[in-house]
Amino acid sequence: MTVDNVALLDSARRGDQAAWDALVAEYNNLVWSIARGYRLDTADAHDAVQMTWLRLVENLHRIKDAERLAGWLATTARRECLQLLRKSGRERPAAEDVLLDIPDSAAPVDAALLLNERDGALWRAFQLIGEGCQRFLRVLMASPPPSYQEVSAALGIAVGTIGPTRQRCLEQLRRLIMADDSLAGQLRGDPA
Amino acid sequence: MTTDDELMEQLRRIANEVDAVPDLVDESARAAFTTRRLDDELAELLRDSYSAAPAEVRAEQPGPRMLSFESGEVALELQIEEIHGRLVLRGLAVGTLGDAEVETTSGTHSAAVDEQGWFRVDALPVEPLRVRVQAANGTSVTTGWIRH
Repeated sequence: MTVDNVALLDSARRGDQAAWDALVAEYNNLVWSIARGYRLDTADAHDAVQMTWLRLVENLHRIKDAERLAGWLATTARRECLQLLRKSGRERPAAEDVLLDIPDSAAPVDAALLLNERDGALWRAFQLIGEGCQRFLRVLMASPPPSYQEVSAALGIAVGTIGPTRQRCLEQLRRLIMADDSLAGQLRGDPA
Repeated sequence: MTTDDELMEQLRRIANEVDAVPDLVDESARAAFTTRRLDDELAELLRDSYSAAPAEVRAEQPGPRMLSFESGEVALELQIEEIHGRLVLRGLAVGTLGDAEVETTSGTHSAAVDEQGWFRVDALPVEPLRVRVQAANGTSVTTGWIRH
């Protein structure tokens, strides 16, 4: 999964579209996951993602530390999401706080799309946990898995809080799952 | 018992299934590269009324968004307003030569700058835009992308 950001950024600076496409292929899922974590609907998430990449184009020559490119993208994506939320007046004063609620603007992703019943139940449980935890976990779900530095940049939270928050949010999810018999069996390791 | 790591992996797999990046979003991310401008000077954003005021204040006083940019001897004041689903841009350019160019992600619009430095473009699509002017010394100066 490790791509050579230094080489790719270097080629992109010289105008190599293929190198740019490789960066998009590597990080667009992270940027998208951040936008979805902030509960933007598809159109707004599209805007936030597009703005993030436009900003990278205009700052291509200013990125000093190529190793931190993913963190830069995550920070930029967060700012664009907050800007969009602010514009629609949905943001509250301390919205940078991961635990703060932002009213749901996104159409819930349809669990019925899932062929696997257990996956459907797990996804429904995910949509029932607190909004702060949903946002946090949705960013963590990015592919490839984001580093803690990237998560910190995406959510504006300290790296040191990520481990405990992950544990707490997954615990919340587990409690809901345990209330659901069919899923609980699976998680206990019962035969299917 | 499923470990935290296993549970996270399940969630990641499901997210990839039900909430993958739409093709259109990947396409516009790749297309962003075509907006690269090698020789332009990026003007510094000095003020954006949308970032300055809390949302509650704006809700009470819906008005145009004001932005100020600066680069060397060039100063740009922009005022953006959404009217009937289109953007109206008014601008004041100081220290520039010739027309202003307003670029959106779907096209470019030229705007004549009058003697006092004012220019205006009506009915722009609601999408990211940036303004490009020429400094007196011939350098092209561009604002960063603005998403209204």
